Amino acid sequence: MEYHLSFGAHLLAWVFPAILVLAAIADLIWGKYARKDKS
Amino acid sequence: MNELGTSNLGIVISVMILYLAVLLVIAWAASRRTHGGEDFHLAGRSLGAWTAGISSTASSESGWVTLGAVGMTFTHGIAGLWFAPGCLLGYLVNLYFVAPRLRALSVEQDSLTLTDVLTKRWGDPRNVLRITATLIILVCMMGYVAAQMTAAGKAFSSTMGIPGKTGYLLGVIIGAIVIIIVTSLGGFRAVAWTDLFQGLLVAIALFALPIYAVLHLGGFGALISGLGKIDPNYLSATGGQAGAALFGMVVGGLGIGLGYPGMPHVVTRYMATRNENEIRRLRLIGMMWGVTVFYGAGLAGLAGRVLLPSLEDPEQTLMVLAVKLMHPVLAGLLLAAIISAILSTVSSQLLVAASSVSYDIVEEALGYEADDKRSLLLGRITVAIVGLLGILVALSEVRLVFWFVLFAWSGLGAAFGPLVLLAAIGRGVTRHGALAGMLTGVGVTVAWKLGRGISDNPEAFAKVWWQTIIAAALILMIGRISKAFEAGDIAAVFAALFMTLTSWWLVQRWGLYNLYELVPAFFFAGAATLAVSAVFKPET
Repeated sequence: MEYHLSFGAHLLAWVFPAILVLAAIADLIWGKYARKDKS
Repeated sequence: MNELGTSNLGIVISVMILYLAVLLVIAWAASRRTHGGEDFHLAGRSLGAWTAGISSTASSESGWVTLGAVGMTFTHGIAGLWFAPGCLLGYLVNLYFVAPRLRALSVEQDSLTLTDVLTKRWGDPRNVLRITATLIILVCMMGYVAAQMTAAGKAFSSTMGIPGKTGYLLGVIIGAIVIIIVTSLGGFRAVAWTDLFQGLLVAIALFALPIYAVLHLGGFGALISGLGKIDPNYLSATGGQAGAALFGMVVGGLGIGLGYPGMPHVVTRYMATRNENEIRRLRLIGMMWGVTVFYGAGLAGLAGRVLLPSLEDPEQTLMVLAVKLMHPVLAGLLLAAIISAILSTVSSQLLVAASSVSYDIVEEALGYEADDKRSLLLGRITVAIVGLLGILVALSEVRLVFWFVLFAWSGLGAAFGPLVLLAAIGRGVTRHGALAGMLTGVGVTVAWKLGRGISDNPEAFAKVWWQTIIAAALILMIGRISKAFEAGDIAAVFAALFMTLTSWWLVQRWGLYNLYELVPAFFFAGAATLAVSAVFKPET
């Protein structure tokens, strides 16, 4: 029998952290706070 | 855990000695740059993004992440991962909302500790707020430090393979002495630098070991089918649960994250950061660390479930995996990482407790004017005293200590979390409201925690609400006799009493035992703060 992760398990196990990391990278590059610092 | 051969044990012990030596060298280097009070309590606000970022996250994750969190997914499968989004949402709030604002506030007010930030924020002419906050911090931190020392003792003794009480005692004493030396010598700077070293060690270990374990199994496909064969529920986010149990699991897991803004040993790192630009960079570093460590721990638990089907104690998963899969030198490093997670938290908490006494009480509340040299000496002495007391507690009553650690996360999180957030937002809070919030946070935590035990032992808990009222009356009497209280403070004590009794009633009537106590305590404390603030404005 083949086993698969459930939809929720996919979200919990890797989709959520991936979004957080991507958002953090995006914030560092384009964040509002970043631009305020430079000015 | 005596699966190490004698020759391998020698290698592991050598790695451990090397690791402890590195900590001492770092402390020595830091102590050479520590000359005064601001250096000792806040590293002269000189931390860069890497040190502040990893130090803040590493000190928030204790032995719980390398032992407990791994055990969670070992026991519950993917559903055991619910703590991870909870903790990461806590990180998100701390790194993105609290960090820049708290840093700005502490620079503007020239505050050295979290208590100092809150008291200067709302004014505290009679030191009511400062003394209350310090007492809460001391009680929680002492218990926390003692519990961590207990965990360090266990980890040391199982690493060295010395069974029984001797290994445990040796572990507690060696770990504690090293950490007391590190903290008292180099103060905040040593703690932050050793945190960086230890935090990186933890992250590398929790990144490499689970990946290695999954490859050893034959890849992620093999891991998933291996888990499914043991129990198909391991592959779902609900773990086969439904209704109230599912709600308790999910909200409890997410609720852990509410604690982060209120941890004094975590948020002081932001105050010590050099400038705003470093704060911006530390956010990504902290987030990456969190994702690596939480999901690494989760993955290690899952892999361990398949690789070690007969393991009796799930919390030993990481240690057993390290010893079974890795070369002894790497296994030694991994075991050092497990102990790192513990010691990085202990040193940070020790320092917070010491700063509370030497700075908040002696220098600020008692008004003992200290020059740089005396302030430094005072800080060092208090670290040594608090640390030695921690050893004594760790050596005496182990059972009580573990009750404390659960209590301390919730107590600190609920007493200070809402206040830190409200201080960062900036409006609508008075010092009376802040007092109400602190007392409510602790009161509801205790009520909820005891309320949960009432079904086991109804007799012992029947009088709790009376005792709560007597405690509140005592606080009021002392305040009245010493003329320390304003009308608003009395209202704050009553508000906290009301909230505590309400929560006690809620647990009794509705049986909300499943809910992690931090969740109600946090929201009750926030509500009490706002309500009292709205009604009672300070007289002066």
